[in-house]
Amino acid sequence: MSDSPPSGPTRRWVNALLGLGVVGTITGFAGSAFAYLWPAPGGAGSEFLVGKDGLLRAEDIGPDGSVVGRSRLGKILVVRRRDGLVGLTATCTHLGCTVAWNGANGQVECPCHGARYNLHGEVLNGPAREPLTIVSVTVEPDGIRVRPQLQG
Amino acid sequence: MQRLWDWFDERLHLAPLWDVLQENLRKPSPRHVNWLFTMGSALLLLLGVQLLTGVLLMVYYKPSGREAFASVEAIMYEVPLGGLTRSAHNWGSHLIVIMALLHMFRVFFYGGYKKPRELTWIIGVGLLAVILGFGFTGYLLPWDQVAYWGTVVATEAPASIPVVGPITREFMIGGNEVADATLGRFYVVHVFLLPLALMGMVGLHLFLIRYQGISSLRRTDEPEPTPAQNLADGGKPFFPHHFLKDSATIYVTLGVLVTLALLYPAHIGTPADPLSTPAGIKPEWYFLPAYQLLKYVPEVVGVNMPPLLLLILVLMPLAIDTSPERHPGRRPRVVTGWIVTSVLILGLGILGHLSETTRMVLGTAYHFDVKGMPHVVEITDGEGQD
Repeated sequence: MSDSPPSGPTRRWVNALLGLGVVGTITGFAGSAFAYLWPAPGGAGSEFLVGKDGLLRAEDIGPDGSVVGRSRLGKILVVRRRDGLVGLTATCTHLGCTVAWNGANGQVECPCHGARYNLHGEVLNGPAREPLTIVSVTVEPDGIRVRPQLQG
Repeated sequence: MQRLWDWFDERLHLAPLWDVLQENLRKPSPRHVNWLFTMGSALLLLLGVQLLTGVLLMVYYKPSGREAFASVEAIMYEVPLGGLTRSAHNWGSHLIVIMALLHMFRVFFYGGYKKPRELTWIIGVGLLAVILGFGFTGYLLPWDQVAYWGTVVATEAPASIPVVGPITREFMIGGNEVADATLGRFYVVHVFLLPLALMGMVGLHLFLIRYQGISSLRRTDEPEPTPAQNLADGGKPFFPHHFLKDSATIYVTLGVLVTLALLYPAHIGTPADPLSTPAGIKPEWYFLPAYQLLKYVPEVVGVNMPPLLLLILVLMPLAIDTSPERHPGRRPRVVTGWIVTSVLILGLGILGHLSETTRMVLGTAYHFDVKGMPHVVEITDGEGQD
């Protein structure tokens, strides 16, 4: 028997198939690991605003005060003004910090990099460039319901 | 003892291996090798301390959003010597970055990364990235407000990279926001994947250093001195001469670490609250330049700057500092560029540190705004420095 490895077209096919098998195995393992690590879709969340200690209520918000809670729309800031409650998304569009209402200057401020917004969500001061989104707020017996603002 | 050695030698034929080790240990270092060349050993010690204290902390740490903060508090206040262990781990992480940077500066100024030692340098840059990765992932683990929001900002930044940014961020933090899933991921990376990478890379780095020997000061187009030439030139065998210097530096470093851990124990803030961001959130000091840069430039630029810097470091011996000269005085352009860049990075870090604080400077109170610009302010009674 010769010591040199077998060659010829059949052997090349076998080699290619073996190589493909190894690549397939590695891809299978890597793909499975990737699928395992892919974040599971989060829960739908509630339409009612939830704080650290449960459902938030309109009474929790004093005159010119505010609360931040979670909902189906993400984190929402609700501010009490003379003419009612105003709701905005509470995640700063710059780098994701939670914004806070500053009653003294009537602005929404981000404590991380100093972005400021008005109650229409518009950027007053950078580094944020995108506005906050206004949400519709209604006070119901079960709590504060927040829904996407209807366009127009 | 001899019988034990014989038992192993009979089976594994260790004698030739022992001879190679002996020869390597007694290999003379070039004459210019001085105390500055002991920082790598100090770094090795610090990495060892991190490994040891890290394993000890793992015994009591609980990587879940509900338990992490309480478990760190328990380590600090209930576990015997837990506070010291955590403080040593915390201070070790700072000292490692300082020592790694000093070590890198030393190699740069001596031109030690030039041909034929480019690979050792590239692995070293990889090790720096791993060390920063440790800092990044470890920062979140105490799960207090500073840790939580520092991580929110740091993980939000990559989302601004076009197309792949948002998906990368979601995969990295395991969802839409920093939460339990993030802690699990960061924990696994911090205690398993990064140590694995670190050990492999340190092993290769050390092997290359011993295999190729310490760089001479000769031009790269001149032949490297042989061990005999090093000896004739006044160089001394690595063992015991340089080994003793290494040991002394290691003990001094250990002393500094324990002193810092005892005098300035690590603290923990208030538990993470995703609904409320406290003011003045800042990252670890070594991420301050990147943090401050994000205030001046679009996120996509700021986020790409640190990896770009690492890439430039990799390219230093390959494409940037390619002259055959090693002496810093004979490569003025590269050295000037290095110093200017370092000063800029340091300046950004200082601005980041000062930003959003009020400080007294020569009797006048200044408030440093988010961009680090000073404004004179009146201080009323009861107000002090931030």
